[in-house]
Amino acid sequence: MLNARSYMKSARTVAIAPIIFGLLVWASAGYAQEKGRSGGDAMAQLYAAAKKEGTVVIWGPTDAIIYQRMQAALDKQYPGIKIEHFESIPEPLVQRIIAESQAGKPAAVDIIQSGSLRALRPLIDRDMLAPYSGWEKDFGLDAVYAGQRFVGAYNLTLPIAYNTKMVSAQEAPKSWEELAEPKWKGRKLIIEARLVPFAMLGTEWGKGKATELTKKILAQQPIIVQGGTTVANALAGGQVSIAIGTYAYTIERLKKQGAAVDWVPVSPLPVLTSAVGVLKTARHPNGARFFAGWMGTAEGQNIRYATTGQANEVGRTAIGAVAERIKAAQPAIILETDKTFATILEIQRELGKMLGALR
Amino acid sequence: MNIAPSAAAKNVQLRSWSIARKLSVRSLTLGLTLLIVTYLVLIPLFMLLYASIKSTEDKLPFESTVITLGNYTAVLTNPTMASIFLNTFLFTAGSLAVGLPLAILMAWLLERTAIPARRWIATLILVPMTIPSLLSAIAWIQLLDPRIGLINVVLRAVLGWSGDTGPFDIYTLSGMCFVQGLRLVPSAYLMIAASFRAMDPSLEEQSAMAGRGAAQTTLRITLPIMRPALLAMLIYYIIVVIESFDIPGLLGFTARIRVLSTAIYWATHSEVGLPDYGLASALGAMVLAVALLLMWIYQRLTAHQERFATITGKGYRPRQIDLGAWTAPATALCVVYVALAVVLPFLVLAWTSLQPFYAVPSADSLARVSLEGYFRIWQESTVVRALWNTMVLALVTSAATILLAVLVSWFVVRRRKAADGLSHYLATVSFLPQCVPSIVIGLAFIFVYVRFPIPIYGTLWIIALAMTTRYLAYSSRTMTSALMQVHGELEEASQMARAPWARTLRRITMPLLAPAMINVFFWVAVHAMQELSMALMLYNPETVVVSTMIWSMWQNGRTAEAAALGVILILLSALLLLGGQVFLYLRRSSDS
Amino acid sequence: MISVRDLEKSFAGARGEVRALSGVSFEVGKGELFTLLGPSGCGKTTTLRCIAGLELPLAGEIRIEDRPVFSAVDGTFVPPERRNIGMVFQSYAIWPHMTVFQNVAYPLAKEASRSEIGERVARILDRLSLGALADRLAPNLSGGQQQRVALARALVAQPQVLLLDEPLSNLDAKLREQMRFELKALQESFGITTVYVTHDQEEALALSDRIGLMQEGSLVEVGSPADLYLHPAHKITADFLGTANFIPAHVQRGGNQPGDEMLLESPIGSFVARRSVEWQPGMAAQLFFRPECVDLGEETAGADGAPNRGSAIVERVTFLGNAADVIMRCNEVRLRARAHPTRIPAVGQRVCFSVAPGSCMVFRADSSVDVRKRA
Repeated sequence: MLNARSYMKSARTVAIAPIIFGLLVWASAGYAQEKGRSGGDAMAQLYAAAKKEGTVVIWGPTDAIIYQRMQAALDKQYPGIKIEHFESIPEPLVQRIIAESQAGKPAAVDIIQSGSLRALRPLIDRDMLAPYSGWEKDFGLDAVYAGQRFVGAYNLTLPIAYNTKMVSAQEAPKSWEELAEPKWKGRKLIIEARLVPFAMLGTEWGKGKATELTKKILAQQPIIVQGGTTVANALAGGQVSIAIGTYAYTIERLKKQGAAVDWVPVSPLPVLTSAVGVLKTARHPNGARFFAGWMGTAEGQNIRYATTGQANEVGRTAIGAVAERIKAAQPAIILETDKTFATILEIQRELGKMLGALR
Repeated sequence: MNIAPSAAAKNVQLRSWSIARKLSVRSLTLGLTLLIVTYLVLIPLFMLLYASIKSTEDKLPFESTVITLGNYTAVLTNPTMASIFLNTFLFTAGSLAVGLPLAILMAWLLERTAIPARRWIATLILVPMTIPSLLSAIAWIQLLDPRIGLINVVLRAVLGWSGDTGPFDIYTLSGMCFVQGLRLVPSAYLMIAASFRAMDPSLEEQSAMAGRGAAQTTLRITLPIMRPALLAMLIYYIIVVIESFDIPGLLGFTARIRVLSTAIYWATHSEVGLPDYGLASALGAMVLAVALLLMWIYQRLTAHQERFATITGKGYRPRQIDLGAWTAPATALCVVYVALAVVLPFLVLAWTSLQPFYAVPSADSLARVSLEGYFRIWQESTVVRALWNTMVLALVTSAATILLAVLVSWFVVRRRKAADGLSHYLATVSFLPQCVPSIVIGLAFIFVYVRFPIPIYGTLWIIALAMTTRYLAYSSRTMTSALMQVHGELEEASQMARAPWARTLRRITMPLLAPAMINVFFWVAVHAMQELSMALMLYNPETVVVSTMIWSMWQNGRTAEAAALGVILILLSALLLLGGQVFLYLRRSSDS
Repeated sequence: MISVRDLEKSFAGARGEVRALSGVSFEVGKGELFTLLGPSGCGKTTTLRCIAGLELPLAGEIRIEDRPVFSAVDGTFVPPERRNIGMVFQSYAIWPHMTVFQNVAYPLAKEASRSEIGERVARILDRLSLGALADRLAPNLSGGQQQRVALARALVAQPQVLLLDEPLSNLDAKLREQMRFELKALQESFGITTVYVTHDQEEALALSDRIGLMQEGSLVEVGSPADLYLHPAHKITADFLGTANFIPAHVQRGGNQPGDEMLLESPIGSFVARRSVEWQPGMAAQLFFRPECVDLGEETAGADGAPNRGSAIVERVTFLGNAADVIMRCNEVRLRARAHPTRIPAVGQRVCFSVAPGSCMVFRADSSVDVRKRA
C-alpha cells in the first residue's frame, strides 16, 4: 500500500517536475526579493537543492502537530519537501547518533532539535554538526550559535510563576531574592528538581551567590519535583502558590485556558535557547539547512506560536505574548548561548549535589 | 569367530546411546535455555561492569579509553553516601513493611477465605499496575498533600484543626514508604497468590483439627510452608525498591530523602549532556552485589527444603475459611484498598483527561470539562501505529517472557537436586537484569545491536528483547514460586504414561501453571505497555509506542491528551485482564 | 522378566553424598508380584524409581524382558516413557485439570484412533468399576476412587511391568484391607509383572509372591512370605517381620551340612534346630522362633531334660480376639507365645512349652551387622 502510493506520488512528481521547477525558482526568488532579503538567490538555490533531495528528517521534542502544520505551509510556498519527524527527547537521540556513527552506521537523521542548547553539546564536542553561514546571511536570522552550527528555533523563558487565587500581583515576588523570605516557607513553593533557573542566575551573579540563594530557598521546605509540566500542574491545581522551573509560555497558555496563574518577568530573567543543528552525516543537507532556516523565519515562527505558544521570546525576531511582556518590563536577560552553557552546566552540577547528585 | 559377538555388543551399545540422545529434547532445551538466558543477561551485565570502570564524564563508555576505579571511589568517598545508604535501607525496609504484609494478607483473604465479592476484588486489585506511576503518585498527592490533600482537608475540618497544613504530610520518609508500599501490592499479590491457591488445604485442616484457630493456622502452617516463595518475593522486592525511582523522584526531593536511585537518576538523566554512565554503573554494580548476596542467602536458607510441594494430585478442594466476625473488617480493608489504589488514581487520570490543565474539581473546572483530549490525540499521525506497536510489543514480550520463565523455573525447581549447580546458576542469573538500570540496558542494546549481523536494530523486536531481559526476573521468580507448589509426581506420572518431557511440559505442567502464567502474562504485558526508559533509547518513528507518546505529550504540557491516551492504555490493559479472567473462569466452571 | 543387578545410587545431602542404594540385585519373574519391604528411608522407593527410569543410578544394570533399560557399563539409559511400565504413585498423581477419562486415556493418546481409545478406556474403567465417573474431575473423587483411577491409568496401555509405590498408604484402614485383595485379584487377572513397595509388613505378606527385605540401602533377603516369616536367613528379617523370640545360646553340636540338625544349649534348655551356616561347637549363637510356633501345655512331669521343651511362669496375657499374646519367664529369659483364645493360661500359672525343631533358627550372636555387605 505504502509503496504503491509513494511510487505513484514520485511518478507524478517526476512528470510535472520539469515544468513546475522553473516556475517555482522564479516565483520563490521573487518572493524572497519582495521581502527585501539580500540572500534571495542563495535561498532559491538552496530550495532547489532541497527539493531535489525531497525529504528532511528531523528528530526532536517538538509536538508532531507543529510539523504537520509546517508541512502544509511549506507545501503551499515551497512544495516538494517532505518533513519526516520523530518526536522524542534529545538526550537519548544524541547518544544514539553518537553510538551509531561510531559503529559506522550514521543515523538516518538530518536535523537534531533540542529544547535547550546544552543537550546538543556532545555533538559539538565531537564536531558532528555542519556549520552553515546562510542562516545569518540568507535567512537573516540572529540566533545563530557555535560557529554557525546551530540556529535558534524558539526560547523557553523561566520566570517566577504564581497562582493568582493564592497570591495577588502585588504580593508576588519581584525578585529572586524575595523567594528566600519567611512568608514563602512551608510547601508554598514548587521547584523543578534540575534547578535550571538558579544555575543560569549563577552565570550573571557568580556561582557563590547563586548557590547561596538556592540553599536558602531550598531551606524554605519547597515541594521539589521533576518535570516542568508537573510543576505547572501543581501551580494551576492550587497545590502551591509559587512555581519555579516552568516556562513562561506554558503559564500564558494555561492562563488563556482559564487557569488562575500568571508570571513575573523578574530581572534577571533566565531564557533557554531551543536550537536545531544539521548533522554532518545528513543525507539531505540542503533540505535540512533550508528547513532549519525557514523555521526561524516569520512564517515558521508564526505556525509554531499559533500551535503551542512557543516562539523566539527575545531578540529581533521575537513574537508573541511572552516576548511583549519581556519587552515591556525590560528585565536583564540571561540567555543560554554557546558561550554560557559550559558555566550553566558546571553550576547546575554543583546545585544538583544539594538534591542527591554525587558528582 | 571372536569378532561377531563383540560387534553385536557394540551395536547394542550404539543403539542405546542413540536412545539416550533422543531423550535429550530436555537436555537440548536446558542447553538452549541456559544459552538464551546467559546471552540476554550477559549484554547488560557486561555493559554495567564495563562502564563502571570507564571514565565517562562527557563520554559514552565505549568512547572512553581511560580505565579507572574513579567511579567507585567517587561513590564510596562521597560524604553523602552514608546517609544515602541509610535512607535507602530505611525506605526499602519501610516500603516492604507496608507492601508485603498487605499483599500477603490480601492474597490470603482473596484465595483462602470466604469474604464476599472475592473474584471482583481479586481482579480489581491488579488494575493499579495499569495506571502510569506518575499519575498514581499525583493521585496520592491529591489525597495527602499537607495543604490541599483531600484527607488532610477533611481531617482538619473534622478535628477543628486551625492551621492550613497537616495532619499528614506525604513529603516525608513515612509518606514515601506508604505510597511505595501500596504500589508494590498488586505485583506482590500476583507473585504470592498462586502459592496460596495451590496449597493443599489438608495441611491447614490438620492444623485446624489440632485445635488451632485460623490465624494460628496461617501463622504456623501456611506461611512457613510458603517460606521459599515468601523469601523469593522478599528478595525480589528488596531489589525492586532499591532500584525504583518513581516515588523518590516525586516525593523524595521534597522530603530531602536521597536514596541510591536518586543518585542513579542524577547520573543518568543529565539534560545537560551525556549521562554519566560510569557513575550510574558503579551504583548499579553495588545493587548487583546486594542482589548476589541476597541470592546466596536465599539459596542457603532453602537448599534442603524438599517438602513444599503441595498440589499433590490427591483430591484437593480449596477450603475457604469463614472469618466470622472478621468478615466485615476484612472486606472493608479490601474495599478501601481498591478504592484508594484503583478508583482514586483512575478518577484522577480520567479527570485530567477531561481538563485542559489539571485543576481540583470545582464549579470552574467542571465548566471546563471537555472531551477535546480524546479527539486531539487522533490528529497525531502516529497514534494508531503507536497503539498497534504497543499491543504487538506487549503480546510478543509477554509470550517470550512467559515461555522463558516457564523453562527457567522448571529447570530451577526440578533440577534442584542435580549436582551440577545449573539450577542455582539459572535462578541467580535470571534475577540479575533487575539490578541493571534500564537506561544502561538500553545503551547496551544500542551498542551491541547496532553492529549485530541480524538486522533487528531499529525494529520492534529489539525493544521486545530488551524488555524480555528486564522482565525475566519477575516472571521467572513468580513461575518458580508457582511451580514449587506442583508436586513432581504429577509430571512423573505423565512420563510413566509414555509422554516424553516436552509433552509432559505442554499437557501437564503448563496447564497446572495456567493461572500463574496468565497472571504473569498480564503483568509483563502491562509493564511492557508502560515501559519508558528502554523504549526511549531504542524506538524510532516506525516503532513508536504509546508510553513514549504519553510521555512526550506530558512533557509538552498536553496533559489532557496524555491522560486520554493513558485512559485508552488502561482500557486495553483491562481488556487483557478481562480476557485472562474469562479464560480462568471458563476453566474453573468446567472444573465443577 | 525384571532383573536388577548391583544397583548403586547416592544423593547429595546436607553433609555431602548420602549412599541410597548399595549393590541391590534381584530378579522378578513373569507375572510375579514382588514386594520391596522395609522401613522408610531404606531405599525401596529409590529402587522402584530406578526401575521406572525416574532416577539415574550410579552403577549396575536393569533389564526388562532381557532388554537393558539401564546399564552403567555401556551408558544405556532408556527414558521412562519408553520402558513400557505402568506406575501408581503414593500420591496417585491424578492430574487435577483433567477428567477421569482424560487421565486414563492419556497414555494412549498417540498410538490409537479416537474410537479405539474410547473403547479401551471404557473397558478398563468398567473393569475397575469407574465407568460412572468418567467425566468427573480429579478433585471431586474420593481417595479410593483416585487410587483406582491411578491404577486404570497405569494399566490401560497394557504395560509389561506395573510399579506400585505404597499405593494403599493414603487410604483409611478398612478401605486399605479391601483394596489389598482387589489389587491382588487384579494383578493376577492381568498377569502383569509387578513390583510393589511398602513399609507395611502385613500388606507385603498378604499380597506378595516374593518379598525382598531392604535395610539401609541394601537388599537383605529375598524369599516367599512364608519363608521369610518362618525361616528367615537373617536376624534383621526375623526382627523386622512380626514378633520374635531371641534366646542367647551356645552351639553344642554343629552338624555337617546345611539342613542337618544341630544342638544348642541355652538358659531355657537345650534345643535342636536346623543348621543354616557353618557352626563350630562352643560358638555363641542366637536361637530364634516365632511366638506362633510355641506350643503351650499344662505343666507335666518328665518334660525336663528333653530338647526343645521347658516350663515357664506366665507374666502377662493380652487378649487380641483371634488369639492371646502370652509373655512368660523361664530362668530370667522372657519368652513370647501365642495362645488359642479358648485356652488362655492365667497369669502366674506355670506352663510347659515346646517348639518344633523345624521352627527354630539359629543366628550368629553378632548377626545384626554381618548381612550388610558394604561396598
